[in-house]
Amino acid sequence: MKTASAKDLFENYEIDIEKFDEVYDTNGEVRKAYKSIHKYLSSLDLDGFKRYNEAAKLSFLIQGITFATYNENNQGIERIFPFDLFPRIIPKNEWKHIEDGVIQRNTAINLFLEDLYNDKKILKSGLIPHELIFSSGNYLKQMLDFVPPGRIYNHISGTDLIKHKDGNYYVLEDNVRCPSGVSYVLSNREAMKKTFSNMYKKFKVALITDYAEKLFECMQSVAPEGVDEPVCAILTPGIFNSAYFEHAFLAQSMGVELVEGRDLFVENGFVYMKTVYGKQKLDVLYRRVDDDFMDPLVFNPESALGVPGIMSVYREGNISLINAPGTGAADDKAIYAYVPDIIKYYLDEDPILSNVQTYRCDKEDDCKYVLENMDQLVLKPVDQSGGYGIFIGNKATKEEIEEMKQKVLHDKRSYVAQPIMSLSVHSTFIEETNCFEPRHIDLRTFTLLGKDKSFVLKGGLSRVALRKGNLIVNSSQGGGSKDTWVIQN
Amino acid sequence: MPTYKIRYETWNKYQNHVGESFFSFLVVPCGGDKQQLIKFKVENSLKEHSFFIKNHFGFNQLMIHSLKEFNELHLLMECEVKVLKINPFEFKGLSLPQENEILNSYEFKIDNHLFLVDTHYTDVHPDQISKEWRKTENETVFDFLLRINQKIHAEFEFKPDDTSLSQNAYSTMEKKKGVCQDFAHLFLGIVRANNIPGRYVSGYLNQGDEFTGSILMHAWIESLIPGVGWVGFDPTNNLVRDNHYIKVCHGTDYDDCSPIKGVLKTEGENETQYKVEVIQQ
Repeated sequence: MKTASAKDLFENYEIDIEKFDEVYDTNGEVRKAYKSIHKYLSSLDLDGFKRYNEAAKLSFLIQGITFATYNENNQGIERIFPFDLFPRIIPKNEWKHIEDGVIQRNTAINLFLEDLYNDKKILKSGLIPHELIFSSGNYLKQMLDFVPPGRIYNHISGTDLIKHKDGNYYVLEDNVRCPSGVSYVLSNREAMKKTFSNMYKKFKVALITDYAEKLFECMQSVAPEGVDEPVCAILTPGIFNSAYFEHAFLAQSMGVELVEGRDLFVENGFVYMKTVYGKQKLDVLYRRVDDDFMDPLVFNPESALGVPGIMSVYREGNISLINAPGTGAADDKAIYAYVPDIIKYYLDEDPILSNVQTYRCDKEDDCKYVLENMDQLVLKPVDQSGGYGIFIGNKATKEEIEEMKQKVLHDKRSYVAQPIMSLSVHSTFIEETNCFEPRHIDLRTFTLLGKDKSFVLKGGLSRVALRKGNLIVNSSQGGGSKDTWVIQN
Repeated sequence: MPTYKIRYETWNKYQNHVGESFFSFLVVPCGGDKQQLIKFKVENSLKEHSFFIKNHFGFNQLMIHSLKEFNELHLLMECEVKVLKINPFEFKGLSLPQENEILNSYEFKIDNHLFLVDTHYTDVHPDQISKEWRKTENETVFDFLLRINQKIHAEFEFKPDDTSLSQNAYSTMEKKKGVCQDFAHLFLGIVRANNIPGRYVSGYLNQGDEFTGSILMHAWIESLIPGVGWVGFDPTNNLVRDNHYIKVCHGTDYDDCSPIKGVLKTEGENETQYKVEVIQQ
């Protein structure tokens, strides 16, 4: 009798030729980039693999790498972020394409934001309907007729990519409102290096340890004019925030203070930090507090998370905020459809990375198409992030479809639709079945823009939808992640 | 060219001790816009240093940050302002077709979008805007604004409603009464519904020699007349802005202009009083 531990971990692996499998080609052959790692994992028996798996989990627990979701609790109960030991591998030439593509895209988005808040040329040209911008709750009057230090708005951008069954990468979403997740990339790598140290050494994996250093350089590069040695800090909403671990992690990695709103105050046109040695002027603030909570004098007056008066100091040019407030005007899902045009308009270049076809429900023809083809589309609210409120047509019941139609008809500006993209799948260890199974993945990349500099973290967060057949990979929706290896061919 | 001496005084009482506090005041008359701030002086009972920072419309906000504990804050601002002679009826307007062409242009709509979009305060229901609130084909913008200014003054009762601190244009239209802020918001709702830019103005009004007693801060609107510029209209008094008006600031609505804002570490009730004096020199 065959014992459980003698079972081949890939024995029951099913290849679905309708989907792009990152590990296997359509003939069932392991792809070149994966050959040696696949061989190594196949050589392990179940007990051996599980020992590694437990070790990796423990490593996360010991490091305190956890997150909280707002859906399941409001007391900030924390969970370990599920991690899969089979790394996602991206060959160097493929990576070059991604890197060039996200830099191009985020550079264009930065120019777009400067234009939106100043000359508004793109609106006057009629390329983007001005109603679309002016009706957006994320377009802030507090940012009008003002250019931030270094002319940068989206210092940190999280561009989400998927690989379709045609084998090409597509941009699924732009995130330019202080995107999170980078700490998981860094700690995934740590766990991976510890767990599979021998195998890791065999590959020439691009390093990611320089992220904190690059982020610090980026922050320093946009210091207010005349400040040579800027004092930097990270502003967190506090320990109940789902990404508090990340705020603390980044502050520690960069050697800067982690502060809350109550630690800061405005005086004489500057922002100061309260310290045991007295007040300390602050020059660059990486804030992980949403726009609406940044300054109770001009935004939500109930906010206790921000700093009263900070927006005025910002407009005086006496502090740099990362990212700039009001960047949400550019990553709204209704704007997404225009990003290829935005790239052409500002850079006079063709987009390197493609968009997914997007239908805007506030356009008559598009809306008609959407309502008639609900079962074949994904509908997304334009102003939500984190995978909240997503409707997947082919998984919905008749009643759900009808309900969604009413929502769209009621508020057309708030929804966009896209064809159901077949996200690529990747072998992932499933604890319930004790073997590897294909699961959908995406890739969040991290781009830094500073004054005259840009940087893309070589790798990124490969998110996995752990539930079978599920397409939503967000951690808040029960997703996990993998280490992402960019390797020399 | 009249010169005014303005005195703004406010008392804020708190039920419980205030720990850390941050105050912002929009009470000092702005420079430019046909007026000149000659001198000013500020005192506060906390003896804290105060400083100016511009808000996002470029107006000077007076700010105070304090770590002291207190139950009461008193602030006094005194200033002198010279206002240039303004004859609001003395301008050369554009012809009707020229005016319409500008009003309907993309460029104009985009440049003035902020003052064309309704806010929570200025929103009126489309059903409330009957024909007489619409600009007619043969009316110039200026004539239309004069007519609405007069209409609000004639048909609405000046009466503070103590049930709510500030009402929006919708309920002002329903109740047919309000105070200067309410009439300004209503007027803004009407001009914006007619695709004419309008902005809220906060400031002081010289009510004349016979009115030296306690008065309040005043509110009126400015509307953008193509080819002419921003012109002030005061529906509370059925007047077009002249040199009796001293402007502090403008914005999309009251929220951009509120004279006092505070972010305080305290709980419980508080009470605010203020007093204004405008004396022509």
